[in-house]
Amino acid sequence: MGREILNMSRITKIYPNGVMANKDVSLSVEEGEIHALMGENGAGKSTLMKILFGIEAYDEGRITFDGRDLVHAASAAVIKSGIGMVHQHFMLVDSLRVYENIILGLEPVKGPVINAARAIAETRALGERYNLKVDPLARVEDISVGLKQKVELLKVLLRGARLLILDEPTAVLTPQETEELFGQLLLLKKNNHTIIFISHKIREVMKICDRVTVLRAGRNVGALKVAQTCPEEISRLMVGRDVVLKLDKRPRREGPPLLEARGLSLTNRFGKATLKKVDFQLRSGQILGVAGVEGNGQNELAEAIFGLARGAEGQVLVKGRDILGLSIRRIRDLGLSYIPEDRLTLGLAAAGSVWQNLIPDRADSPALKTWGFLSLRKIARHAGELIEAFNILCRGPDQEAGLLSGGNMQKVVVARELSADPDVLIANQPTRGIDVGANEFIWKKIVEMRDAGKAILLVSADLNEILELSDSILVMCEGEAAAYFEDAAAVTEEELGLRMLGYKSKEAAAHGQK
Amino acid sequence: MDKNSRIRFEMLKTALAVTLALGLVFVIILLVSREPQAAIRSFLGGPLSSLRRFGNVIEAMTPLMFTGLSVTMLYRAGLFNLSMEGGFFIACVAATASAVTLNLPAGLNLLVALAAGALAGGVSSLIPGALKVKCHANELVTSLMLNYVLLYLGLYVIVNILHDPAMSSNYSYAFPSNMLFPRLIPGTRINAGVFVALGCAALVYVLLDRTSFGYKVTMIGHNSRLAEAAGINVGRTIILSQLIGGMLAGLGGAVEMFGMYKRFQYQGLPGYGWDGVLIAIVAQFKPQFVPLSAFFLAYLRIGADIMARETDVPSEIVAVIQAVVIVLISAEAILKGYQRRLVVRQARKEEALNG
Repeated sequence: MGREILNMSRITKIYPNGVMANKDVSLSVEEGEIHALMGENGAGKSTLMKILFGIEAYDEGRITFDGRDLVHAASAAVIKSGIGMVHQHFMLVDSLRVYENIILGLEPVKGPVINAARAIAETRALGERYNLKVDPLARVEDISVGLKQKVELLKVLLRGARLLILDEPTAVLTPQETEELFGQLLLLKKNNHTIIFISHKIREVMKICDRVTVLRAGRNVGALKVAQTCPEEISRLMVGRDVVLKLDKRPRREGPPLLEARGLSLTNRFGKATLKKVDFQLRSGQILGVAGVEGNGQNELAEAIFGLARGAEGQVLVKGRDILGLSIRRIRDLGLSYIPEDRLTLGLAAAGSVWQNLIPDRADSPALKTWGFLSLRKIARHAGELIEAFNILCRGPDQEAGLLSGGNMQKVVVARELSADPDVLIANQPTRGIDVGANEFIWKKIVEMRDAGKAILLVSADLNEILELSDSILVMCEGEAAAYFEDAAAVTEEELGLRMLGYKSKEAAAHGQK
Repeated sequence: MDKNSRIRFEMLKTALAVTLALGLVFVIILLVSREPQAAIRSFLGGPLSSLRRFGNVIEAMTPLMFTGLSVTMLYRAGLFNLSMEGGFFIACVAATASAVTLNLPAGLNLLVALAAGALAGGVSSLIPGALKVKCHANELVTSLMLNYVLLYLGLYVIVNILHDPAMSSNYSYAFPSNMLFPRLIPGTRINAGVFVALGCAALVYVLLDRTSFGYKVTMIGHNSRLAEAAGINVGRTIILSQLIGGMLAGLGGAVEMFGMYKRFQYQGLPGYGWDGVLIAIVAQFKPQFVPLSAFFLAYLRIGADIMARETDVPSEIVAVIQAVVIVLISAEAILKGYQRRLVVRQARKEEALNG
């Protein structure tokens, strides 16, 4: 350790929508260290790494790696110089086998055909060497998220990477898989690989990193040695004040059930059962958190209830009435609202203005009309009120929604869905990828709804969010309701993690039984 | 970039595209013509050189406004198709059939024939819309194929049912003379049709920008999945948009028949649908700009015709302008560097303000 291997100096990046994602950011990484790059969502971590990896162009600055300039190099050249990246969303071909993914672009050949035997042997040898054991012949679509991440690591290592960038590698892992990953990273470090570890989880960084660089709002706010700092200091740097998202909730006062699922099942278009006879009850004044490793049916559950995923079987009762098969209009009229998982596909029209995005569910409302025609004045007033009440930072109702920051886009969605005054809110990842201020605000709004006697179904991949907000927790695993905890306060993160993996109890996990 | 600077940018882009296209045409004229000065003079100044010629511009812009509005309506809903081409044509046939077969009193006969045209245009455009909603068939493909069906169906009706045996070509019987739009200005063929078109532009503007239906259409065009999740009936709105868009083109066909012709004379698709695409693009899918945009294209067309008659440059040169304008306006990359500098400058300004 000690020799500087990567130097990024005074990098500035402005996105086409005018967002300054990086401003004068510098980053120095030493050989053989695990260097954490921290910051809240939207702080510019991923952007900085995409710049390093040649995916995004930068407007100013200079990058040197291993003593050589990387001047606006393309990804291919960056890989060649010895940098590898494991993206947050895996870059794998699902229908191909593991070894085929790993050798893609570097295929050993025998005449005109791929030398499969050698490729398989190489994959196996590499796996042995770094303790990343994956069956080379398995199809990627059949293996777990944790294994897919190993495939990505092998891919990067086969390409001779000495510097590995891991973009939020633990976001998709259970606590147990995370532990395993850490072991592998330490092994890589011992082999003199350098690792940049992107995360916003302080605990993880404290555990395995040597140094940490913190970004906030696109700026570099500090580089520290982990051994000489404490979680509070990092947290302060990240958010600019001493907050750890904690929530003071009033004790719950539950009323009658508002939403009830009975034997809810769904089969996707590939014939795979994504929901298997799910039952639950959601009462007035209750927040029911739905936890699970991504892709275990949580999203399908939300979409099936709201009528976005068609063809569900079973019953979904709202005020005693089965809503399966009804149009979304009818479902909304019965008092349901929906915050979608991905704001840019289902939540917003990026090309539309803020006001246009605030009223699509109420375009026929007489309150927005004069003599049967839309009244731009009434709409502007309505939009203005929502912008103020939900603290949406924008230049006004006419600004294009796509130009807002992620947090403010999400506030537009939340403002619309909450102002519809629903009895039941389905919040599917309501705070994904937004800044801490907006996050806190949305949490507050959701709890306000609960205290007003509404019912909230909260689907989230963020365990902290589930544990902080929920009154009760439903755990999904492989499309089934794997566990239900009536009192969320009595559940630990570890227990939740085991249930998410499908283990029935701690003891069962120890013996490897499901 | 905020909304205003975006609009400014789009206008700049349009102006640049038109200027470049004209410049290119002048270069071509300089290269091929033995009398380039005269050619350019009659191209640019010809339409203004007499009342009759300026009248020609107004006459030519009428059908262009209708198809331009039709394209605007459909594209605002995100329905990229060319059903207005066939719709315009089949509406001409339907209006002709109504005019020469029904024996209605004056006034009523014109209204019925216009309605028949609008209905034919609307119904023919419904087909690609319904296929899209029900079978997820691409509306561009189905509408293009349907246009040929409509062309030959229309020609069949004209040749076998409405053909006037006294005419050597495949023309229909003459329209009753009491149906024809009165000519408004002596020495030109300018008729009430142009006001019908302007009225439609106003109606489409109100429909798209001042009603909840138009708002829904716009949101579906922006992001149909959001519209669906918000509870908008996307299928019905799409079908209604196709119907209205087709009716606009159909009404245009009927108006053209009784404004400019004495009997049905088309032997093929007149191409107004394609022109409508250019007009809608230049008008940036805003109905209020469609008349201006139609005037621009009509002016170029008439100018080119005059140039062809008076000099050695053929009028097809307009097609070059049309092509260049479409490519330049629709090409995202044009002026990207400039746009980027605008964005960067604005971001820095805000940065400085926020400290």
